[in-house]
Amino acid sequence: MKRTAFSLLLALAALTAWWATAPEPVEADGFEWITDYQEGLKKARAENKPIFLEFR
Amino acid sequence: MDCKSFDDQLVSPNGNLLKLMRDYVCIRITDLTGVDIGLFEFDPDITLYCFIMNADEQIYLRYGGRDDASTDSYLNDDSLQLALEKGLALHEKYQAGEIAKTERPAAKFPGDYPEVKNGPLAKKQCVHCHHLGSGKTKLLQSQGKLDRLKDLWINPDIKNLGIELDVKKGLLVKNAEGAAAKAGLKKKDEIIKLEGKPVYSFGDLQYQLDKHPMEAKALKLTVLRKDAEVELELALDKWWRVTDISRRSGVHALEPFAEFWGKALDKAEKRKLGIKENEFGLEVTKFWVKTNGQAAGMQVGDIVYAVDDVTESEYTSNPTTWIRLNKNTGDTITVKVLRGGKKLGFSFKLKAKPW
Repeated sequence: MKRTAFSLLLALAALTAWWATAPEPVEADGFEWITDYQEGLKKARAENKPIFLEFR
Repeated sequence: MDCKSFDDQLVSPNGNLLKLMRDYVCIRITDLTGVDIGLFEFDPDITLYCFIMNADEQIYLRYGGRDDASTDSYLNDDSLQLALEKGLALHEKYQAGEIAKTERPAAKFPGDYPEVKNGPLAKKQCVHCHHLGSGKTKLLQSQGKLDRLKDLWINPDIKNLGIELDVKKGLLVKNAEGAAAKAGLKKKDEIIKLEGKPVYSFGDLQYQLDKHPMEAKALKLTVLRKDAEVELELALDKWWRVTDISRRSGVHALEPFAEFWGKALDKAEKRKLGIKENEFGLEVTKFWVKTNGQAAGMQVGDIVYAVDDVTESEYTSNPTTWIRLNKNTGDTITVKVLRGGKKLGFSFKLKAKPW
């Protein structure tokens, strides 16, 4: 019983640690925000797309 | 819609907005350090501002802008979709060589303002939009180049001209009054040019309006009416650019400090106290530090109704703004207040800053 509880706690701690350190998602459902301006310019040139640039 | 929810839609777009945004490379910048603010020039007192452009850094159009009432009066899903659609069409034209390249404006950076260089940049902190507003005022004032009755009314309000837009439909006119109505602007007209410059969004319209000089007597608008272009000329009065600038970062940075903080009274509150709508009326709300006003006897709850016997002005009904616009550091002023039905006066010297 103690071993099960300890394993559960360990799993929960691991999950919490992953949750806390996981990078903020920039891509969801195939949609991506780029946060580096120069990288965005390069990508737009490579993909021949216009740019939507948001300052906030 | 509040601005947060609009921003939420932008962070995680869905539906048609998502479909359109997938046709773009989307870049989000939250720190203005190193940004060429000569190229990306925008209102510093906003929560977000967008440019639709290409990899050659040619700007097709702007999305953003605001009025005194709110940061998001002109921000909504529908008008953003319209702007994105226009951006795609302009991108196609650019690629087909149908749009000439524009000359890049002189580069300018946040660090050009000493206040930003010695403030957030020196502390390795993020540079935000409002830093640009205060940095510009501080620099111009320190150089003696600030015209306080001209330079602070940035990004004018189209309602001053009598233009009301159907905000979900971009530049489609919902109603025209005043100068706009006199010039012949009609409901359902679509504004397409200002002084001959193409405008595709409210952001474009306000940006071009900002370039129009305060002393101008007229403003040319081109509208699309039943597929025909119609030229209109609006007559401008002396204070056509005037808005409530007391909210602006550029005004907060202005010297001198009024020696008290307060909340401007609304129409109903003024009426209750026998103050006319256009007259000064401000309730003193706070003394964050011991100011000269407080030392002279001013108290929280006082209603300021006159400064040096001036009770109203053509360009502000906020006495703290009036002081910043008309007085200098070291001047002695007399502020008159209402307190418990009595009229009292307090004289004190103005400092440059509160602390």
